[in-house]
Amino acid sequence: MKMDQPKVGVFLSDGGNEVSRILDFDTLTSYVKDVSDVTFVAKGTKFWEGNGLQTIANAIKEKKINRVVVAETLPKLSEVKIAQAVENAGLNPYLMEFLDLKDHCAWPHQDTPTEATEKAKAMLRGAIERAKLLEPLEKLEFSTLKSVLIIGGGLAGMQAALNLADMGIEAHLVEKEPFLGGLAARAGRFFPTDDCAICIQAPASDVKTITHTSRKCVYRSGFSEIPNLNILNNSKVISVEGEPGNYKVTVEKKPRYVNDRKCTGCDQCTTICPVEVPDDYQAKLQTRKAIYMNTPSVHPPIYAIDDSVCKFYDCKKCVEICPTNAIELDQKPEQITLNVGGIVVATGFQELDPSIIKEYHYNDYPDVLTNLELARMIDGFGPTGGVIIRPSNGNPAKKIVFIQCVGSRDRRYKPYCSSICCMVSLKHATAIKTAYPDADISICYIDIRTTGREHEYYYEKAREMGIKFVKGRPTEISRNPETGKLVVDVEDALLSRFLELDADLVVLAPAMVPAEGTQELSELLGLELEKDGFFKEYNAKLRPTETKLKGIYIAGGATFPKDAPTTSLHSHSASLKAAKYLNAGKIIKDQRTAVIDEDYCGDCEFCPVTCPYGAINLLPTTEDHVVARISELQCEGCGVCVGTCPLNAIELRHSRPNQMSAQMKGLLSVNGSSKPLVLAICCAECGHTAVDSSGMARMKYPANVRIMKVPCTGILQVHQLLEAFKAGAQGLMVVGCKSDGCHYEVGSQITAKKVELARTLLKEYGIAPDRLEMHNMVYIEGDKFAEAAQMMTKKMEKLGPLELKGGS
Amino acid sequence: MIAIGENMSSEKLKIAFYWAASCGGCEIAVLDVNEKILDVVAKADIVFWPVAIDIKYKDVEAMPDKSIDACFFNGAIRTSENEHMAKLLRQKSKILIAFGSCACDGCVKGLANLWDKNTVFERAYRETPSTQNPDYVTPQTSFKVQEGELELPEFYDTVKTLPQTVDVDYTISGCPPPIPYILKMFEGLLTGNLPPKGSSFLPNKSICDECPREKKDRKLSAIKRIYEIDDDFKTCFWDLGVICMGPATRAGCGAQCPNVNIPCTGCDGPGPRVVDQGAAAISALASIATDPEVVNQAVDPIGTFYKYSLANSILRRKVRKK
Amino acid sequence: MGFSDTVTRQLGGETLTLCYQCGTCASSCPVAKITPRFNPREVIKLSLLGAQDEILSGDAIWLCCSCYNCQERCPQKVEIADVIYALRNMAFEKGDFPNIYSEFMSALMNDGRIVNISQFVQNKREGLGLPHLQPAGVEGLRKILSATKFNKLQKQEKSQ
Repeated sequence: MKMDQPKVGVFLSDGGNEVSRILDFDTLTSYVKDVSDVTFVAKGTKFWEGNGLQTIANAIKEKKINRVVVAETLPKLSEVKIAQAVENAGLNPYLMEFLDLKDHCAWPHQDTPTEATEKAKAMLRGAIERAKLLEPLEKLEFSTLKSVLIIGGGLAGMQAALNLADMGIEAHLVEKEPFLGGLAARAGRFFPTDDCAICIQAPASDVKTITHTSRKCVYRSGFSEIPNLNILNNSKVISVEGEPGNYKVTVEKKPRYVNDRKCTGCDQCTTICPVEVPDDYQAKLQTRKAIYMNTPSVHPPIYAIDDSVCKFYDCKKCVEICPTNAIELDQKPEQITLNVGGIVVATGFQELDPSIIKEYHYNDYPDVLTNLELARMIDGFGPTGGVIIRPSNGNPAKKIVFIQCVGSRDRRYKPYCSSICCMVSLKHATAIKTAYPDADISICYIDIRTTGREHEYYYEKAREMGIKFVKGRPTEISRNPETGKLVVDVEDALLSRFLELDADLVVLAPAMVPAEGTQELSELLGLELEKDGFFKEYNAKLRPTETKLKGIYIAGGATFPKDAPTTSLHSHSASLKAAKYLNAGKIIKDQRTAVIDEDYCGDCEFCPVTCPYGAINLLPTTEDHVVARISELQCEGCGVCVGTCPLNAIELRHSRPNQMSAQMKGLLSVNGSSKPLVLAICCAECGHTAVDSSGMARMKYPANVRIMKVPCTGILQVHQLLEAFKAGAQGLMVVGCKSDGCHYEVGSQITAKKVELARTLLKEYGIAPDRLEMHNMVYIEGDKFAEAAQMMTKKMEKLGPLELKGGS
Repeated sequence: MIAIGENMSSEKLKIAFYWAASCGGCEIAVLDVNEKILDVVAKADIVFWPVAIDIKYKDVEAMPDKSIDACFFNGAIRTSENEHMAKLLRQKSKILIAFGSCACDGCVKGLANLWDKNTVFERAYRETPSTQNPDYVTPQTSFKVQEGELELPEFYDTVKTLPQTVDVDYTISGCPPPIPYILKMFEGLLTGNLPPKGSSFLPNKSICDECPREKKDRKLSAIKRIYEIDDDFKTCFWDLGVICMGPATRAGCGAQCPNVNIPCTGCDGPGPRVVDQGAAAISALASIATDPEVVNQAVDPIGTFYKYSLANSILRRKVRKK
Repeated sequence: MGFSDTVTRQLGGETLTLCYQCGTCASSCPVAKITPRFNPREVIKLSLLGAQDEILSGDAIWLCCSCYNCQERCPQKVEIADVIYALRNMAFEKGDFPNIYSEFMSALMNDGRIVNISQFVQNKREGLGLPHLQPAGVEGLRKILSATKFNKLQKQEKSQ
């Protein structure tokens, strides 16, 4: 880029004497004045307030400086204010370079002020040389659609759709089943509120929703009539194209065969339908017809035809009897295109099929059920009308044994704790005991986990009610062939005593696993799954409902099994994040992005794989050639692609190779101590802040250690490491985030590999590999940095000078 | 710009070829343009070509400065003679072209930079099993015989490239340079349609751009040798776990080696923006390695990644022991 | 180094620390069902707590019948039977093991069989029309046993 002749203004803060007490400011001022292209130098105390800001602004306006170098004591704090002032004064705020003479120089080297002053010269030189090569960056604006696709119509999805619609954002709720409600609808009641699972917050469109108390059964909430809410039942997302803010989604909607505008829910069709099949929704404890409705707690309360069993025109009985002509057997699947700005994934979780655990004989013995199946039995609307029976003979079940951790906490199946099953079993046990005080209930557990608020009271209540707790995981369930009764073989580990528990009914608490289709959807959306197969969030602590793909959010059990309150919370969070992203109708970000020079892209196709954000796509140029192209919207500016590209076709606009090289050479241009120069290349995140914290805590390391900041260590290429040696570094430290805590996901890990291979290479070059080290630190590990810097210096002293004579 | 076009109307171009530390393959490559060489000699006179024409160094020295329109210089700078001729031909030529991998990047000869003069002599004049040299006679720069004193060129410690020795106008790398681009170069010279100074006559892309093998998941979970893979002759070597220098190597050859199921070893040299071909390949490899263990499977990094470019790398040579 | 660390460094003992005491092993164990002297869960727990003497000098570890039921069903993939083998090896090194093992060893060294050929067996074979058992090729076996240092184990035991 053609740029004006740089005129650099340097602003040196004495940090209220704290910096100038140690560093010789007169020396620094005269040094800086002699650096080429420096046209203005000012000393001050606080450049980020009042007069200080005015000094900078005046220098821009009057002295016509076009590069600003600020040495402030609190660069992290002052940067924003100074940038604003620079912009107001008419200069692009990216033409600015900061350095911290206090925490990176004066304080850690306070015992050696002369050497510290020399280091400060080098720091200033590095900053000035880099500043000269900086280029103005613009603000980018991307328009976004105020509409969101929500995948999954369970508790999380419905809640998210409702939230978004209420906020004026068009919400498209896609549910694969003909009815909404998901797992929640089958659960009957929820702990700890003991309210109906299907009770939802009433939408804002309900005129009565002016008080906090407004809750409604979903079927009477007017859910389908909410403005901005488009419900697509029986539907599946089949393709997603486009970018955050502008996705084109194709949904395939299977026919319902019942016109939802005509059906009155009169029930005549189910009466006459001759096809009878086991009712999965009711845990196969009853049958249903080919035309059916999951009564009563579902939405919409409109019949649907199960086309896998219906005889259609061979029968037509329902068509004939329907008083409103609502049945339309000729409905066809349709493809619907939705243009949305964001996507909320709320696909939830499901029970593991416990039949894989052979010794529990789930499929062999009809009286072995899962908790979800039991929930249908407990539900007064359920297949047994709330009576707890033995499915094998229909007789009431009096002795019930629960088995916890069936497939959970089991390294053969699912190693994690499914987190809700203890409470589900406690809820069910206490519900049964309340209805049938003479029921004999035992719960076999490994550990009872009741960590939520009020959850422990369920446990307490269960003990009060006389529910028995056996600490032990049963080895087997067997059945007495004569009586058909079940026997649970378990050791009570507290007593070291073997129990053979007789049971009419055994209830398993299976592991909760990602919903069916999770893998498929993750591939469709390009979302990462964590090792247990759930959707992976961007950051568990700070961004629990965001993904590393902007514009795509995850809510509820899709990320891990959750109880209702947590699902709800999660769903609210996802809605808020989606709304925040899309509400303005545009996304503004700056140009701190990577840019590919397509003339030099060699089509190796490595960068799309390393980009943590899926921001690089391959575009065909001719029939069999492609080039990589970076989405400025999705690029986060880490530079991992830069560090990958073997043709150097990619550069970060805010950290170009020439800028990095100039800074590096500047930092190594002055030594001023008898010790060997050590360059610490730190990522701008944890690496650089660890250096900050060591300085703030006045930890000491020698002044020969020079700090260079890069956006992420992932940007580094091996040639830059070699260049550092060529430029005079005797030792080289690469300081990045922890390998699993990289702010850009993969940068730190990739760099570790580069450093490892570069060390092997150095050895071949006859250079001690120990001259290059990778360190991983976080902010609070300033002591670790100071210690590493000292150690590195000592090691380099011991190794002696590195003399590269490649040129001779 | 170089005023080569001006000569065209009046008289034939004067061109020169020279062979420094080189295997001779580049000279053969010139002839591999086949009958097209006739088009060249129709428009150009070869004024110096030691391998083909009997013209002595002193004849070259006698030529006026810049009297040669274009000199194609192949071979690396290994000895004082190479260096002298590089400087001389620079002085006499309007356009100096680094021709072939040795001149551009040092090529395989550059790998001698892992040793120095003494160790090279030791190996060549003493250790090799076929050597009978009990007095350990090694080349000397001067030697007295009855007739007087003989001089031999000095053998340097470090192999250098042509651009490291003199100012070079254009480069065309490759071992040897690919024929279509040699033709393109001749055509440019004859028509005066030349790229900016410092350019290469090869394309800016990488071998991958020319390679017919299909790129798949781009994840390197283990490094394998070629005999360890089950090659389907379709999938990119990287996807099969084999190190291929294609991504870090300038295009031009049409992916000759991958086309015959051998991974690229990098003879076309680094890409136009790359300062260190081996480091670029290492960065790319480490970036797609799925596991830290994988990078440790890369053995002989200089032989693998710097086969042709050690002399043209950042460090250029192994650090010499004192 | 604590006892549990020592156990996890033994071949077979690696998975000891995974145990969370669910008792699946105990309820799967045919031996534990008939005698309170052996309970695999307790063996694991005592090992984790560092009850070295109680474990290595006691008889519990020698009562395991190696049916591997526990190992099959352990949800944490603790290789319980193998842990018990590791513990037996440690006890053996200490010289703390039931006499019958010394007898097995001597029999193996001397006759090439763990169990002596009794007249009872020979008679029974005769009744079934089977040939008499002949002494095994002890020389070859001894070579193997000394190559694997098995004979040294025995000596070590004897010197105790």
